[in-house]
Amino acid sequence: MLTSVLRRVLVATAVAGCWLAVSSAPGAQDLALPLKPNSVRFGVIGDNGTGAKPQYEVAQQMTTYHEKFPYTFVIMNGDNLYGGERPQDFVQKFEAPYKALLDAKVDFYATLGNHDDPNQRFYKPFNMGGQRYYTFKKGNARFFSLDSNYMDPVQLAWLEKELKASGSDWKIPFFHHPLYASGMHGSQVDLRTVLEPLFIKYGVDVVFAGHEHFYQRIKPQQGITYFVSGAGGQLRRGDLKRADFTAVGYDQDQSFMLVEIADKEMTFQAVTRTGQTVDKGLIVQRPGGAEPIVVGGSTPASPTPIPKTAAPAGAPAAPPSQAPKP
Amino acid sequence: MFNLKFKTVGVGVAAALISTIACTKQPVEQAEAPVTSVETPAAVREATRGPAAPAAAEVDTYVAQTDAAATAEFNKAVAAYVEIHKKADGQVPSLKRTDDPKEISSREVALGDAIRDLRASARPGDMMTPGIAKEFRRLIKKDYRSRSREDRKIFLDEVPHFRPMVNQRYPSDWPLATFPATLLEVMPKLPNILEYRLLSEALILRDVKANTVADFIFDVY
Repeated sequence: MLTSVLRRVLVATAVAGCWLAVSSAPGAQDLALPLKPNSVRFGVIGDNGTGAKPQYEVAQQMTTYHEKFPYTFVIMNGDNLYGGERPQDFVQKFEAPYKALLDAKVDFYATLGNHDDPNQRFYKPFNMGGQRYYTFKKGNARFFSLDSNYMDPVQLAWLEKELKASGSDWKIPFFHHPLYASGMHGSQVDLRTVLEPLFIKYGVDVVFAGHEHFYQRIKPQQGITYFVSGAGGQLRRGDLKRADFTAVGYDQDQSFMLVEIADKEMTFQAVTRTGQTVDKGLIVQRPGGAEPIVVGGSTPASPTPIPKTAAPAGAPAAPPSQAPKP
Repeated sequence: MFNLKFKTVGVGVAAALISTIACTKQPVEQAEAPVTSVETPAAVREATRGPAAPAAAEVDTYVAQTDAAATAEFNKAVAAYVEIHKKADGQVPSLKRTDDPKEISSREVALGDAIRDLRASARPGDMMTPGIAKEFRRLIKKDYRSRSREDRKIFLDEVPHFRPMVNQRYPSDWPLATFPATLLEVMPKLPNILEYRLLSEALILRDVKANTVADFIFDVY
């Protein structure tokens, strides 16, 4: 009885807090993150390495936000370099667009997408330590970068060992192929078969992925909140399809995410290339493996209804300069 | 990348296949744990055809022995390739983590060239010989045919469409198609310099460090 009341109070408090934030209707470049002392602050991008103008515009927006929200690192959900791995590709598709952030000592942690040569792991600015999959810790959070292109038994055994050994409050895997998504590729059911049991068993809280060229937040699945952030350079406009598991989705512009972790709370914000906030919210971790409290919602200033119910007819496809081979 | 649904191959079936197909796979990299060798023809029967009638037992035994021989031959070929790779690796500057992407790409090209020189006479099927090729085709076809029509369409949309050649550089403008995780569980284990990849018409063995095609077979779907 007492637990039930306590839970309702917690939910009500969190929802009220979220409603206050949402109802303030932030305009472009408004920050929805609390900036708590000693918090873990990071950005999230995926499918960004096009070298085309939208990638640069997203990067510029990330730089603008960095002034208000000084995050110290960025996780990259894969497809870091499209269309080639020549030296100039590293410059045009990574070093140049993110120069301001790199100059500000923001670290980038990459994961491999299906368009990435695994030898990217030797490129120091990607911080992969020469490994296709690796782990690192920031504050009370441990991150696990996985190679979802090739999830062999050796990698699975490594992941289980690392998850088991981790005593961090937050366990956050990030990789390219989403376990839940409703775009042209859809949920990676095969991958889910082997990964989800480990995530559940070892108390993973949040998962980030890309591959689908839009933003999507998934309703908690067995206690885990999944994000798709795969529009850091690419965009597949109108590709979000109706799915029961969708909490919020946005496919009308390129986007990135900002995240802050403070103690048992993770606050997130999804921002478009033009600085529009299309989703924000709070994930409250709860002890004993109980379902987390996740609250959030799109800003009323969003240009399209969220979540989407259907792709708009005649939505323009990505321009040829951005469209990768399948 | 692939939206895979194993509708007929359950966990139990996968486990049975792991224990049988992986049975004679010898690790060719010292860093990787040896795979236990256990022959379980009964499990193969259970997984693929259900309990066998007594009259089929001799046939099953023959098939299992044939598979074991094919796998042993494959492991031998892979081990020979690893030796060539090591030799080539010793001929080019070592690759360390670097800020300079030029070092990464030039080293990759140099390693590919060195391997190409050392196995200039390599032909398709040198590593995936007919015995193991037959087994690979069986596994992949079984996986592919277990998928829905929609899944198959997504599957084929995602894989690269170029026609492979032995020793060729993997074209950098094509993505690396994801190899299904549950299928990897039943394929023979490879040393970490090699990996399986699927193309629209073929299964290839790809040298990860050199970014080259070591071998390929067609007719896998």
